[in-house]
Amino acid sequence: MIRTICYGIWAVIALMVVWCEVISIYSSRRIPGFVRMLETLAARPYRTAVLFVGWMWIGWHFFAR
Amino acid sequence: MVSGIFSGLIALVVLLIALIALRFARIMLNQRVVRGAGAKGAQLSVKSPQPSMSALSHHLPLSIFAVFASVAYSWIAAGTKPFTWGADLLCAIAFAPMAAAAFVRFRRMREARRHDGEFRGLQEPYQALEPWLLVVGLLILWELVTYFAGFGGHREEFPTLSVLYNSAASLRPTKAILFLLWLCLGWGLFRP
Repeated sequence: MIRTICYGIWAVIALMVVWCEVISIYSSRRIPGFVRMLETLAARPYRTAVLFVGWMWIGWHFFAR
Repeated sequence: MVSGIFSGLIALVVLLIALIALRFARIMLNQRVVRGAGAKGAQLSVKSPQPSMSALSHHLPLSIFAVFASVAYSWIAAGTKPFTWGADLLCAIAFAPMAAAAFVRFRRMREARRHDGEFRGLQEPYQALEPWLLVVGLLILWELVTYFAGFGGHREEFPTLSVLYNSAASLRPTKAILFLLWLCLGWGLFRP
């Protein structure tokens, strides 16, 4: 039962991500889409460096370890 | 029940992937980031010029090669098992071009900042990012909740993102898609 609820909440979070992208499209991009949000995050040099370390960690964690 | 929810989750992720891929494709074809003309507080502005056909045809073979190479590489990488030297090697090789791209991007941004003083990069008003911040905050919170709740042998009852990933990555095609998405994310973030 708990497991089902957990999966349900993950599904809701995934839905919210999709919903954000959808409202971004329907708001004529007044609300940034996923890619625009990432571009904003990577817009400064040191943020780029931090994001690079995070990106490397994700790859290492999921695909190598 | 659980498998139904999980299938739905996978379908949602696939839908999101398709949306993001479309957006990436649009940006790569139609937009280029250029420095805004000289005014004080110059920012990176996004122009959307229509690329000329000659420019497209010039880059098309390279782009097609890059796409096929990435897909092939992802398929090979998906065939490796974690905690093996093969997985380590293929992951580390993927770091190299992204590190080079990130380094070039980092240098360019620093130079632009040095020249323009008040260079602040691409900006979005904080309020516009609120929906995303909410979702990302929720995601991190729920990951932490399930992570700590799963201690003491209850991991099956409290699946984290890693558990979801393990289920998805048990199939080679799914793992290859996830690896390819990771590469796309890197290129999207760090392309010079």
